[in-house]
This record gives sequence, C-alpha cells and structure tokens, in this order.
Amino acid sequence: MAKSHGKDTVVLLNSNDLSQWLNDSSWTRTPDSHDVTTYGNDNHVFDGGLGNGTTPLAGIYDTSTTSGPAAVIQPLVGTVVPLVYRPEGTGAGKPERSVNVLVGEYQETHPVADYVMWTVNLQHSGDVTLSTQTSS
Amino acid sequence: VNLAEVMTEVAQRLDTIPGLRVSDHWVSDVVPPHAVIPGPEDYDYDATYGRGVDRMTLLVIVFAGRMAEKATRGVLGGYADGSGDASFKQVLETNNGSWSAFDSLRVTGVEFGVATVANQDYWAATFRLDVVGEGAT
Repeated sequence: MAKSHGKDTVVLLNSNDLSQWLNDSSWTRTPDSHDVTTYGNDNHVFDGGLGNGTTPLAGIYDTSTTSGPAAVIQPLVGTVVPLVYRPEGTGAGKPERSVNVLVGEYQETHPVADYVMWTVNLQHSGDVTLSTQTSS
Repeated sequence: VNLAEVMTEVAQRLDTIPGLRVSDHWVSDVVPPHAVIPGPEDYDYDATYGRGVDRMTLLVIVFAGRMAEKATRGVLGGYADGSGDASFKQVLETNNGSWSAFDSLRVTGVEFGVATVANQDYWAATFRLDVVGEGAT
C-alpha cells in the first residue's frame, strides 16, 4: 500500500489527454437505492439499484485552437464520448476506469486578477469498465 | 519552465526601454536607472496534472536614481505607470503571446522603498510578475 499524489492523475476525454490543463477532478459513483424496509424491522433495509456517476473536471484555459481544453471540449458538449480515468497515472499495473460520458455544462470563469479557468461536468452513461493498464 | 531562461527573456524585454540598464542576475553595483532581476519570490510546481503548468512570482527591482534628485520621481513614475513606453506593465504584458521560455505573465503590483548601494540612497521599486509556463519544459 502507498499513497498516490493527485498530480499524477491522467484524464482522456474522447481520446484527448487533457491532463496538462487539469488542476482538479473527481470520480463519483452514486447507485440508486431502494428502501425495502418492512414491518418488524428495527432499521431501514435497502437494495441496490441502477448505477450512476459523474466526473467533473476543472482546469486552466489554454489558447490553443486545436488541443487546448476549450478547443477539445466545446464541440463535445451534449454528446456521449468515451472517458478514460487513470487515478494513479499512466503505467503498467496501474488502474484504469473507462466509461462513456455525456458531456454536460462547460463553464469558463474570467477573474480580473487571475488566469482564465474552466470546468465541465461529465455524466457517466452505461457500464464502467475497471481494468489494469498493461503498458505505459 | 527554465528559470534562467525566464529571467533572461524578461530582462531582454525590459531592455527595450530607452535609457534603462537591465541585468538578468544580481549585480555587485548599480548605475541607475538600473533594473535587476534577482529571481522569483516563490515558485509553485504542479498547477495542473502531469507537470502541465508551473507558476512563479518573479521579482524585478529597479533602482531609479538618487533620492534627492527630483528627476528620479519622473523616472520611477514612468516605470510604475500603468501605461506608457517606459511602463513595465505595458512593456511586459504586451509581449504576451510571444514569450518562448514561458506562456504568459502579468505584472501584479509594485512596492517602493529606499535602497542603499555603496553608501548611496536610491529610490527603488520592486515589481511582482505572475509568470506561468509549462512545467515539463
């Protein structure tokens, strides 16, 4: 067991590596739950339901008109594309999560005293594949 | 980001201001008006994943002239002005998009004070530059 630093995280959206422009992201899985409590129970009883999840991304804007986050993400808003999430970075033996995502709200913020930043919300769609990378 | 290259490139840009001497390193003596780039006040790695972005606060100290000379006020004022041919802010920020050692910078502020060099009091100012560039280069 060992700790893993967030700076090593790798995120590919529709095969575009956005990592170098990202400063925050999260991987959240939130399954539905069904309350199946019946008379005679002293505590709630639940069954699991459909899986669900999101992966919001946040980062620094780049002026590139071809590979920067704005150039890559904006055309994808409203579409379903593959997401690859490598929580420990790229390398043989490291975990990888793959899922299709609906590219949701893309937002830029332009503070007067700082650099332009952006966020995008990714809604998981369909099954998640958990795997181990075989090569870097 | 290569620190030495950043300091050199900023110095080269400031050197376009007529009459201003510029050194991209500490010097043992100054001949005002003289801008010296001593290096960064702080240097933050990993502003993004994968060594994408590093960020630093680079300092530029300018020795404008003798405290007792009225002309010094005009010299230092020109450097500190928000715009103008001698304005550090204008001269540096108008080069954004053309830097090679880093991506961009912003002159965020300036502090004034008296600097004594070789028993001579000079009116000086320290400019703070917010510099960002690729971490892996």
